[in-house]
Amino acid sequence: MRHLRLVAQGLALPLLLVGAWWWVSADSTSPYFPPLREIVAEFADTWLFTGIRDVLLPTLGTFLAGYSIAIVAGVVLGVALAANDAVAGFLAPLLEFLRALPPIALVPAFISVLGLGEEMRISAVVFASIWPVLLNTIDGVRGVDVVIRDSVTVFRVPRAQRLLFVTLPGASPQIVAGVRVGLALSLIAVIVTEMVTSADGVGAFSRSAQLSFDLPAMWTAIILMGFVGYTLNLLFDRLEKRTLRWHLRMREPAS
Amino acid sequence: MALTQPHRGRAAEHGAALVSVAVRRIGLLVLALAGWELLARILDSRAVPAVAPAFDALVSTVPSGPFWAALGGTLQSWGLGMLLAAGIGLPLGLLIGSSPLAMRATRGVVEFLRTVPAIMLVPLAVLLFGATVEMKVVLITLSAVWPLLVHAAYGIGHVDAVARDSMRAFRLRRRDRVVFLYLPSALPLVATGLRVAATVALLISIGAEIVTSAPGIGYEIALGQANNAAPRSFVYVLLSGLLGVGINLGFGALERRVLFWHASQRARSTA
Repeated sequence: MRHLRLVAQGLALPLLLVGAWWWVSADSTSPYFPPLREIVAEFADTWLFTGIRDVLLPTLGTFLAGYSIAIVAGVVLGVALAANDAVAGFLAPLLEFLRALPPIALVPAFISVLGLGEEMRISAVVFASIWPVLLNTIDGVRGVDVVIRDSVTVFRVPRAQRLLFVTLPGASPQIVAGVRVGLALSLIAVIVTEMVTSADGVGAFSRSAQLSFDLPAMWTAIILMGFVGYTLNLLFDRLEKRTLRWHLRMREPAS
Repeated sequence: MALTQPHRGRAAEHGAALVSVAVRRIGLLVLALAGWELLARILDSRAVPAVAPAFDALVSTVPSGPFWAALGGTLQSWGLGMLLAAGIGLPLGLLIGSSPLAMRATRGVVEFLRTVPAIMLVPLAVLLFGATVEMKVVLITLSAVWPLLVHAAYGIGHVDAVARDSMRAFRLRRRDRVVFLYLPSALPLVATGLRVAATVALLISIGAEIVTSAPGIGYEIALGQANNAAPRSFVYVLLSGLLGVGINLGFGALERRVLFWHASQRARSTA
């Protein structure tokens, strides 16, 4: 019963808002805000399922490729740098600068150097999302409990085991936080590169809808990316809860 | 004398540390420039200028009107967007956060809306407003409002239970409870939300300028690349990076200043 009430509370507002949108826009003649009815019909037409296959999948492919490269490279480089305090301290200002640089600012240069192809888009995604992962990994590895670190050294735990069972798990809360920031940045980078190069993908779709003044199509692309972003975040939450269960339990007050 | 001895020693030590930091910073700068030069030579592309032409472009661009106009264009939309986002997001977040029911009811909607990549709205905003400052302000507001709202809501929701119950037991007035307990408890997360929102706002501002040619730093970056004036384009890339660093440092300092009493900051200052 209690469960049912919670679900009802969670669903009430979304349903109300969608209903209000449907009702208010029903007789809309404004070209910018077409009736929701039209948008839904267009959504089914465009995206189910040829659009998802031909337009969304390339976008997701670029995103996944760039994002996973950034995660692996960021963690590996981060662990390597954190092992060497002097080098990490020396490079810190440069890394902070690269993180603060809006990654989109280099997209035009990426295009000029790498062309309009897939390599360019993947590189732009990697560049957008590697810095938070790298910097958080350094912070996380350095933040591993000193007592634990010293005990491991005293007991002469082999390097590989130390990395696998002490360093990485100890740093994982920070790493996961950096990876989460990278998720949003990667999505933005994919879409911007697609918009600018107008090759394929959701960004290019939405850009060409703008140029041909096809507003319902544009709305469907926005809604689609809303679902995509939401789903990716949900998956991320799941993964985070699973990998960091021990950490979350430690933080939660006993209840 | 005995008392001043260690003091002077510490001052000298402090001075030496400063010198060593300066030496390392300069060393890093030299190394970074060398790396840049090397990269430019390897790529040998008109898109990536070597250090010398970039420096020439820097000298000729910075005193010029367009440079300051571009900086102003980006900063103006960034500032207006941040103001609007804070004006909407913070009160709404505090209201939502103070009621568990409102938290549960709005959660789905907020989670959905904040994951829509704001850059997807660029084509719609361009058709509605053209490539103007208004367009950028709307986009920035729509992207910066979510971190502010969410952080404010979580901040006010996580009030220390003992403090809350004691205040209630002592029958403190509602207004006092809000001013002395709820708002200060929300402050750490609000400060974090501000920092996140400020970064997102800069990213969206420059992204929108690159995609739509609205006036600002992003437009100059894209224009320089398109006109084979890569050195000038890189001056603006550097500017955007410095702006990002400035925003990080500025909001980080604000966070520490507002929160000198908070545990996270105390821990940091002793570490």
